[in-house]
Amino acid sequence: MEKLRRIVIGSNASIFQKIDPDSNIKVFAPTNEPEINEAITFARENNLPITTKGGGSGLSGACTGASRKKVIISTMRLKKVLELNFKDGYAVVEPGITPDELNEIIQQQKANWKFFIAPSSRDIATLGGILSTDGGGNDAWLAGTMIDNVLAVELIDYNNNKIIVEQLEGENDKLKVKITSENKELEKKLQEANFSLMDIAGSHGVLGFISKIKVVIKELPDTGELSYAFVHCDNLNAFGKVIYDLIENNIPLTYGESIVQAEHPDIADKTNPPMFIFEYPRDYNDKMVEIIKNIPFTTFSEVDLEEFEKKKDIRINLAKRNPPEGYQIALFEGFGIYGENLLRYEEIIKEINETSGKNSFLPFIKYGHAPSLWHVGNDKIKGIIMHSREIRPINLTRDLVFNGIVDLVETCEKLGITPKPEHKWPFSKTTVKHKRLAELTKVLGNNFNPFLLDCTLEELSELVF
Amino acid sequence: MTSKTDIDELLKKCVQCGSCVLICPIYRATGQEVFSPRGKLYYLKLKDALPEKFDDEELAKDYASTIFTCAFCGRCVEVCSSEVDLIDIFREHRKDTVKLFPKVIQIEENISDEMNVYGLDNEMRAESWTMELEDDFPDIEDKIYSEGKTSDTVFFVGCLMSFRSRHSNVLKSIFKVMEYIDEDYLVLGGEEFCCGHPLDLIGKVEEADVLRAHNTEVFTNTKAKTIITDCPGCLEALRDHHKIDPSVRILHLTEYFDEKIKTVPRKLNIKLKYHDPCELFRNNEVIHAPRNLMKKMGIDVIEMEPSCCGGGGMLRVTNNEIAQDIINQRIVKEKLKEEDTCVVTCCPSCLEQFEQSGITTWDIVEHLAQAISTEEEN
Repeated sequence: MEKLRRIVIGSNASIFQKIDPDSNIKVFAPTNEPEINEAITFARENNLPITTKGGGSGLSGACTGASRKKVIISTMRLKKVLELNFKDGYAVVEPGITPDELNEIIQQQKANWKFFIAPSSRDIATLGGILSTDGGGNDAWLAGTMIDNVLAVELIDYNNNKIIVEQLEGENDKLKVKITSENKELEKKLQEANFSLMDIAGSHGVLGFISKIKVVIKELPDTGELSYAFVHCDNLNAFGKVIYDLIENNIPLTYGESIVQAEHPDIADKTNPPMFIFEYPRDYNDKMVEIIKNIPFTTFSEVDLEEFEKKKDIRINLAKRNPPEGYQIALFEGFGIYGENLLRYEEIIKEINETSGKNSFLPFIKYGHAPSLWHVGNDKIKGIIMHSREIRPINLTRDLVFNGIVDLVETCEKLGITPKPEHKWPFSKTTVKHKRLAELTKVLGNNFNPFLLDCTLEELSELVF
Repeated sequence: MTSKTDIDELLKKCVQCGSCVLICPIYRATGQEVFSPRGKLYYLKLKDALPEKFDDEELAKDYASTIFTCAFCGRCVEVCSSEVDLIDIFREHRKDTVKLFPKVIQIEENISDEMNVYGLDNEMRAESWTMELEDDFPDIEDKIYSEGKTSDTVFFVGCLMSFRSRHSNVLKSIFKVMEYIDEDYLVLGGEEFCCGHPLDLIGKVEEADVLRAHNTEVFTNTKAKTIITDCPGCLEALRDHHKIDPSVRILHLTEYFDEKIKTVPRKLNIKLKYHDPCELFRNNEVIHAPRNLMKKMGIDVIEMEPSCCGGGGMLRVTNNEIAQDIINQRIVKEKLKEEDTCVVTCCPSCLEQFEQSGITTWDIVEHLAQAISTEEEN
C-alpha cells in the first residue's frame, strides 16, 4: 500500500493535480507530536522539503508540493480537541479537525456555541489548512476570516523546534504577540523579525508545521428573530450597489451569499441570478427594505426559512457542479471586488468574461460571500470575494490554462480587484505577502513548501491534467 | 453497467472537492486517503494521465484491494454535487480484478453451482427453517411453491434469511403477521435462486441475469401481483434488474405491512434506535414506511446518523476487519453500549452486523409480531 499511498496523497481540488507519483518520497499521517517529530526528522535526515496537507479542498495547490521530491505530512489524523474553554471562549485543537467536526464537539456540550469560520468546504477543510489560506466563508462578514479567530499557534520547524505565537492578553492586534521557543536563539530572531500571527495566516505551509491552534469559540449572538430574503437584480451594477450600500450601512447580516452568474439552466431557473440570499435580524427588516428599495433595478422578497434553506443548499453546492455539457475548471481562486469597483460591476464582469473567453474558457458560474471581508497585508477590506468557474475547453492544453491565468491576473491588476494573488504563486512575487514570507524563511529555513516561493510558470503548467 | 467511456466521463466530472472523504465509512475506519472515494478516483485519473508510471503489478493489486474495500453504502454518491456515480466505477473495476480475491470467487462458484451464496443444496432453502416452524405453522409446507401453486403475494426470502439460523425468528414473525393480516402467500423454496445482487457487486451482470431469468419465470408462474422481501439487496435486484412485469408490485416488507396494517392491538411503548439500511433508504428510497410502521406500533424512534454498519458491498467477505472497525465506530459514535439502547432495523445483513458486535438488535417485523399479538410475550 505504501506506493499507492504516495500516489493518492496528491489528490486535491486545485487545477494542480498531475503530481509525479515518484515525487512523494514518503507520506506520514501522524496522530501525535512524537509522530510529527519523526516525520520531520525523516525529511531532515534525507534532506527533503516538507509539504503539509490538510483536507485538500483548497484551490491554490499549496498542499501538493508540486512534483518536487518531498515528504508529505497529512494532518488528517490530528483531530483532537485538546481544550474547550467556554468561560474564556476558546478551543485548542490539532490542525486536522474540520469546522464541522469542531462544532459537533462544541455543540455536544453547549448547543448554542460555535466556531465561526464556515467555508463552503467546511466538511473537509481542516483548521490548519484554513489558517494557511486565511479562509473565511459566509460568516466572515460578522466573524472575520480565520486570522480574526485565532489566538495562538504552535509551529514546529525543520529542526523540531516548537514555536508558540500567542496574541497578547487583552490585545486584539494580531501583530502584537508573544513568541516562545525552547530554542532561545530562534525565539530572539523571530522576535527581531516581528514574527506574528498575521504572518502565519495565509502562509500556505511555508513557515513550518502547524501543530496546534487556539481558536475563538463564541455563543451564537442573540439576534432575536431572524428574517430571510432574496434580492434579485436586473443588472450587475445594481448587484454591486447592493453590496456597496449594505457595507455602508453596516447591516449585521448573519448570512450573505450571492450568485452572480450561472450558465446552467437548472441553477439559473431556480435562482435567477444575479441574486442574493440573506439572513439578518428581524429588527433590521425595515432598514433592509429601505436600502434595497432605493437601488434601482432590484427586487426584494422576504421568504420563509424553508425557501431560504433550499437556496442555501443550491449555493453551497455550486462550486462542485458541472455544466450540462462538459466540465468545469477553476481557473482563478477568487476575485476581490470592493470600494468604488462595486459600482461598476457590469464592466468588471464583462472584462473578466472577455479575458477568459479570449482564452477559450467560457463563463460557467460566479458566486461569492457578500458582503464579506478579507485581509490584504494588514488591512481589512470589505466587499465580495467572487469565485468563478469556467467551462473547460474540449482541447485543453496547459498553455491555454496558463495564458488564461496570466491574462486574468493582468486584468485584475488593471481593475484593482485581486484579493489573493498569492494563490497563483508565480505571479505573486511582487506582493507584500511573498516578500514577507521570503524574509521569514531566512530565519525559519526554506524547507516547508519551498516551491511556492520560487516556482515558475513552466513548472506549474506540468501539474495540470 | 458502465462502459470505459462512461468511466472516463465520470472521472472528468469529479472535481476532487473532497466532500466524499470524511463521510466514507471506510475512510473513517482506516484514516487513509487511499480508501476514500476521492483517493480511488484520483488514482484512476493519474493513471490515465501518466500510464508509464503505473506499470506495476503490486500497485494494481493494491488498488484492487481498495475497491474491494467498499461497503457500497452509496453515501459518496449521495453527497457528490458533480453527480459522479462512484459505485458504478468500482463495480466495473471489481469485475476486472475479482480473480485476486479467492473468498469472493468462492461465493461466485457457490452461486453458480447451487444458486445461493453459501453453496448449500438449494432445496434446503425452505427445509432449514420449516422444521423449526412447523409447530407454530402446521400448514407451512402448503406455503412453499411447487408447480401449479399460485398466490397474489410471493415472499422472496433471500439467501441470508433462508440459511442463517438467526433469522428464523424473523421468518416466524413474518409468517405470524401474514396470518394476522390474513394474506395468502407463497415462498419459493428450492425454486428461489439468489437474486444476483452479490454478482452485481462484482460486475458479473450476465451471470446474475441467468438467475434472475429463472426467478422471473417462477414469479410469472405463481401469478403473483405483489412480491415482498425483507432484504434490501434482494429488493434492489428485484426492482431494477429482474425484468418482472411492471404491473407486479415489488415492495419491502415494511412498505407492505405499512400498507396493510393501520393499527395494532398492542402498543409497545418503547424507545429504539433505528438503523437505516443503506441499500434500503439510499438505493431503494424506502425511508418513511419503516418509520410509519414503528409509529403505529408505539415505538419511539431515536434517529441515528444515516451511516453504514459495514455490512454491505461484501465487505464482510473481502475485509472483515474493516467491516468490524466500521460497526465498532458506529457503536461508539451512537453511544449504543453506554446508553444500553436496543437497535431496530430491517435488513438481515445490518442486523447481523450489530448483533455480532454485542448490540441487542431486532428486525422491525419481530416487534410487529409482538404488537399484533394478543398474548403477553417478551
